[in-house]
Amino acid sequence: MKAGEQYEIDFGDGVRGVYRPWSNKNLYAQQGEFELVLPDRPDGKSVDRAFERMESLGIKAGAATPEDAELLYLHKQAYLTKADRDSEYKRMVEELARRAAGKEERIREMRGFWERRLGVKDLTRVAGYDPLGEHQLAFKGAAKGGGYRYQYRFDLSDDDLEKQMKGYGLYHRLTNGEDLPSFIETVLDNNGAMVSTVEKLRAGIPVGGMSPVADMDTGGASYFFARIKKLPTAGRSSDVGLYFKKRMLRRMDAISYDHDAFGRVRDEYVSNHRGSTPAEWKQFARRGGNETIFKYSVTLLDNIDVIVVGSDREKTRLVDAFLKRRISELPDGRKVEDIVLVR
Amino acid sequence: MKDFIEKEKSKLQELFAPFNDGGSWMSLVEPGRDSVRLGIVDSYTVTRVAPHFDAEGEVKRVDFWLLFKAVGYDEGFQHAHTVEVVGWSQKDTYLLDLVDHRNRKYHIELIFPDQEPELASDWSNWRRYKMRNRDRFSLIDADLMSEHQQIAEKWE
Repeated sequence: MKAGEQYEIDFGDGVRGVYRPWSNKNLYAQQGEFELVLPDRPDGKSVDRAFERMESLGIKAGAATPEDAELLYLHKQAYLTKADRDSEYKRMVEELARRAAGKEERIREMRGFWERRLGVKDLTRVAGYDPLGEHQLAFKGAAKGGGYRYQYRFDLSDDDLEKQMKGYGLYHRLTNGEDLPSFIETVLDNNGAMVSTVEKLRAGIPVGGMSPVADMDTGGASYFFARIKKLPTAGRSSDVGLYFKKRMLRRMDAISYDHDAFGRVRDEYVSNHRGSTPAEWKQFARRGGNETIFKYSVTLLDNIDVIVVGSDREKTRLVDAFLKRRISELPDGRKVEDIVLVR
Repeated sequence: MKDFIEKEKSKLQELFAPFNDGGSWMSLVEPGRDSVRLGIVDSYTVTRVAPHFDAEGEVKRVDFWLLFKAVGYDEGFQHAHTVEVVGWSQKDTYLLDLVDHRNRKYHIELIFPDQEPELASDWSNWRRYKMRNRDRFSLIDADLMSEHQQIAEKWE
């Protein structure tokens, strides 16, 4: 791995900041990272103090305001559906910039754009319109949201997806040589999530052999990888592995390609090559090397659709792994034994 | 035809033998974009060949599907790749350039321990790691091969 460039800031009270600039000397996945290092085991007070240090550098440490979150939400929606290439959208944005419009006005105008486009009276009443997004399931503390918060696109509802992509899911094949029950035990004993390489580095999870560098430079190392595929329940596909819910395709950080893009998220590659409609996604599923990536992590219990194992014995071990941890039902109400299929 | 395909396949596989034995690194170049270093490659396997014939029945060119696995591929399926190779050239025995059907260019270079001691050391460490975990890797390799064989065969 290349040496890279970083700056260390000593705040004088044991707290240190490490900044890796947007420089070609750094691998893409690490560019722009800011890391706070606390001297002792952190608690609420020491984290607040560290955030104050961060703010002293001019970096906002607090959560986004509802206005900022909604503005970003509306921008992201335009970007991922490529509506930002439309002349009407461009004109609106230019006009807002020209008159230096405030946030409230920008939100009003952008909502109006989507109301016209989607043919609805009030965008905020559309099923799926949620600028603040959803937390992934907290692992400790059932039914509480505590993981990363993700926004979901609002031009497609879960019902739309179900209608248009019935029988499809997001497949993740394990390649670490472990059998599925042991792997799931490891996940359930730790943070309950499938994590990207960058997330592993952040959490200090050691890599067994050697860390692959390819997707550190394409940017894909910040993402968890899956493929769009027919669900085993829907037909003949029965590859062993984890099948996640297609609802995740609504996540605004999700990027789908019809090809192996090496996780490339640099420059305009994403907007030029991504697919963003159910019709495209179904088409992608016909190519075995298709790629859908999710930023940082995907939590297991709230996102899993089906798990396929190789034998009845494995099914018993897998179901036991859940039951031992007092998980007999998933947050969506299905029984664990019902989502484990034998190939 | 079957014989011809098998011969072509093993001829092409031979091309990669020095790189599989001595270790190599790869970079990806796409028209109009910065090149991306894909790092050290564990191995290259030709999984499928497709000859193209002219009107007289002579072979015009042979496309092939290549599975390559980056070092660290036990960390996730995304580190194994199948590409459809539509052109290749070799300016020297330690170099190999491939072009895939998306017009992406892959530059491959053999690792030279004298000139690239760090890469050579990473390569040896990786080989040792694989050797220590050979049972696990034989499972992973079989699984990846089966997936990528399917990808190559169903390629549209």
